[in-house]
Parts: sequence; structure tokens; C-alpha cells
Amino acid sequence: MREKKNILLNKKFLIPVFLLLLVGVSLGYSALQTTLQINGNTKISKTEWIVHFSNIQVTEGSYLNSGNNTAVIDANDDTKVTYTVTLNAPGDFYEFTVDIVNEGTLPAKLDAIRETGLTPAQIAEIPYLDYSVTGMPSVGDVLNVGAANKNTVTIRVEYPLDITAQELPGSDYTFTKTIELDYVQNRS
Amino acid sequence: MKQSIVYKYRYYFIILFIVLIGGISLGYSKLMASLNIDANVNVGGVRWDISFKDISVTSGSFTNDNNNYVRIDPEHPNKLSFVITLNEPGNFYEFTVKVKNSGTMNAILDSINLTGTEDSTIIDTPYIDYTMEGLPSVGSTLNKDGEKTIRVKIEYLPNLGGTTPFTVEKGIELNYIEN
Repeated sequence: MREKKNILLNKKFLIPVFLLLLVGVSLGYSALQTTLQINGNTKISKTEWIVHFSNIQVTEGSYLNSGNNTAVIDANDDTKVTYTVTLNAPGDFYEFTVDIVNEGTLPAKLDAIRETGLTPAQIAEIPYLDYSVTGMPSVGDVLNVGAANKNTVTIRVEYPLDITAQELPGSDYTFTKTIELDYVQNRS
Repeated sequence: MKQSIVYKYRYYFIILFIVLIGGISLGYSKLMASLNIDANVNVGGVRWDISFKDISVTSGSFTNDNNNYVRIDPEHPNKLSFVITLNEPGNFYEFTVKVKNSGTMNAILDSINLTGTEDSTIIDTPYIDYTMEGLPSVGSTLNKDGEKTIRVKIEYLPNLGGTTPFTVEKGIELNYIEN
């Protein structure tokens, strides 16, 4: 019995046993280890963001003032439309349509509309000017990609025919206004 | 005391944060389009001014002690009235008046309103000769800066049996509208 104890307590015996134990645990641990791999193949498609005005058309019968009345899309920036019109007498009107198109690859959404100049209520009080805008999209409207999804806006200014002599403007009146439409990517 | 890594490299982290925010902003702005419609509209001042003007009584006309008159209504310059009494053969009264468009719009005569002594009454009086020339007709135009002249003459003809004064009272109203 004493010899057995001596054997168990002998360093020369304990160290190898410990090492053997260590190796055994390592082997067991590695056997219970699984390496998981996630292989990814990601392609980033080519995208384009192209929202702009297109196809401006002046309505037949509009008063052209010898060619001086115009509605144009800026040749260098197709996000800008400018119309310059003079109405000389009651009955004169000028009307045009313009398309808002999304020719990119991402759907767009109208995020905000800002207007400067007279409010619609103020314009309505001017007896010698009728101003109307139809087809304007609303905030939140989505403009999907493709020509078929365009928005067509119509703007008309008119010198009313049914105006009394007292309502006539005694001097020239100038009306200016800007409408700004902010489009952002539609993420919904 | 050891400083944390974040504190130690805080300036680098601040710069990185700014660059990150700037990148996000740049990315966001690239996907926004602002469309502008600018209006510049001029409504021309206009003036509507069509009226009778420039009455001229022919020399020698019988004035009836200044009781004969031709006048333009000061409140409604498109209305003319005249009262002419001829007392005896040989009297006459003649005048001209212009209808002028001094405004900035072309006009067309929409209607005429004649009041007073009926033309038939005058015609039925053999010793009274009544002439009105140049009265525009309904539908005729009067462009801006244009004018027309109306002539009226009333004459007490001799040797036709007239012995009593004869009075003609008439009103002429011309209603023009924009052409």
C-alpha cells in the first residue's frame, strides 16, 4: 500500500498524466468544434436617379404676344421650367402642360411642395387675373420609374373676359410665383 | 491612471464621426431632386374709354335764344341728347359730334338706344326735314384710337305750310363692348 501511494504521488508520474489529460481535453474540444462559414456573393446593381421635367406643350389658342410669351424647360437644367407671359387684353390666355418623369432606376416620392409669391386666396381676389394649376401631384405621391408613370401638370393664366370697366387694371400688373417640388427616393 | 482608448484617441473619433455624418448627408442629397416652376406674368393695364366728344354746331344754326342745345351726359359719356326748337320757316339747326375710342381696346357696337321724338313723327311733318348721318350700326367696330362722326340737321322748310314752332327732343345712347 505504501508503495502504491508513493507511485501516485511521484512527480514523474503526475506530470505525464497531466499532460495526457490536457491533450485529451484538447482533442475532445476540437472534435466538438464546428466551423461555420457564411460565404457571401453580393452584387451592387447600377442605379440612376433621374427625375425631371419633360415634354412641355403650349395649348392651342394661347395668346403668344408675337412670340414673346414662352414656357420652356431650362436647356441646362431640366428640373426648371420658366414661363414668361404678357396678357394684353381681356380674353387673352396662356396655357401649357409639362410632364414630370422618372427616368432613373429608383422609385421616387414627392416629399414636399413649396410655393412663393401670392397664395391662391390672394390670387383669387385679383379681378383681372385667373390662375389655375391642375394635375399637380400631392405630397406622398409616388413617381415610379418609366414614362408611363409620368405626372402631367397644366398651368393656365388668363385675363378674364367678363370683367367690368371698373375692374380693369389702370396700369401694368406683374405676377410672379415659384412652385418647388422636392422628390426623394421612395423606400416603402 | 490609464486613459481609455476612446479618450486617448478622441480627436480621431470626432473627425471620423464628422466624416461619417458628411458621407450620410452627401448620400442623402444625391437622391433628392428639386423641381422648380417659375412664373413671370404681366397683365397689361387697359383703359375703356368710348364716348361722344367734340360737339360742333354749324354756324347759322337757330339757337332759340340759347335754348337749343346738344349735350353729352357728364355721367355717361356714351349718351347724347339734344333739344331743338325751330320757330319758323328758314330756321335750321345743324351739328356734328364724334364717337371716339380713346381706350386701349377695340370695341364693337352692341346696341343703340334712341329716345324722344319718334322719327316717324318728324317724317310725318312735311315742313320739317330731319337728317341724321353717320350713326354707326349695331355690329360695327370702333378700334382703339378710331372715331366716327355723326351729323344731325333739322330744318324748317319754307312754303310747306308750317306756321308753328316745332321741337325735336332726342337721346342717343351707344353701347359698345370689347371686340
